[in-house]
Amino acid sequence: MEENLLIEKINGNDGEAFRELYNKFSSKVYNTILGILQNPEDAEDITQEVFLQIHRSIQTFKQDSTLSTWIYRVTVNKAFELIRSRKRKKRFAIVKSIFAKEEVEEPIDFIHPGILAENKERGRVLFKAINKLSEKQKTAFTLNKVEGLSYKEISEIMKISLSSVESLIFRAKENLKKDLFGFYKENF
Amino acid sequence: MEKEELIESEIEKTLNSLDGIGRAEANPFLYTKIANRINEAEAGEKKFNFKLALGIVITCMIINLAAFLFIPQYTDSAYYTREYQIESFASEYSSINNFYFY
Repeated sequence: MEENLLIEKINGNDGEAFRELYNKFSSKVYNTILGILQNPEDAEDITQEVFLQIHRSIQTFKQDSTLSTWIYRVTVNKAFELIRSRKRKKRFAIVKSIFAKEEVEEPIDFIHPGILAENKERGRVLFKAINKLSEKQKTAFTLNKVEGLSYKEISEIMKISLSSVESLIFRAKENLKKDLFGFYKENF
Repeated sequence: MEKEELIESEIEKTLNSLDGIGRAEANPFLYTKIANRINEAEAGEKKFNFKLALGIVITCMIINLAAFLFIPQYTDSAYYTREYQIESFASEYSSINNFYFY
């Protein structure tokens, strides 16, 4: 079904059309969120939130970008909303732990299910390092490396220039190299 | 020196470990969960709209009842006040014919 027709039908509360949209984008949405959040349960919760948001606000989609770009934008925003809210809670938990002597939970190691078997251990180390990147670097790097999007697609999703995307990914790689150097120096 | 070279090579391999990564698939029952949440949200919205409509109807009825009970009294007193004001204004400017005709 054509994009315009699909949007029109969803606006007309057509369940089948929404199902079609879900089938088309669910793995893209879930995979992107999983790459950013690095937790399957959180990724499922946020995937639900993304599709609820799409269902609620597709009538506000102005079609100045492709549907795919808009959906990726909603996806990235929702994933980082959770990270920001977790960070706020973590800061509060650290303060609380000073007084109540509670332990702050550390994130568990994440292995992406799509990584080839021989790369699993290195992938685990890399995802840990990706987690330390800034929000923008993490978004650009994840969309490029995990989701396989081109720099042009990323620039449309992030609403930045192509050269900014190149620069973000270059700096992300530099930061990852530094972090990995420190890691392997201690663990080699 | 050799260790550093090994580390450099390991870093490269690690950075390339995402090459050929497959896409992770969501739980097959996820759509059912989403559809249920959409239905719940729509049902909640309908319930809210019904309550809102009911509230508006009740408020209108109360306003009508209050108007029915209080406006006639107000109209009477307003009428007398207004009549009195017109008469006093008219007599002040002598615009009322006070002569009797025989």
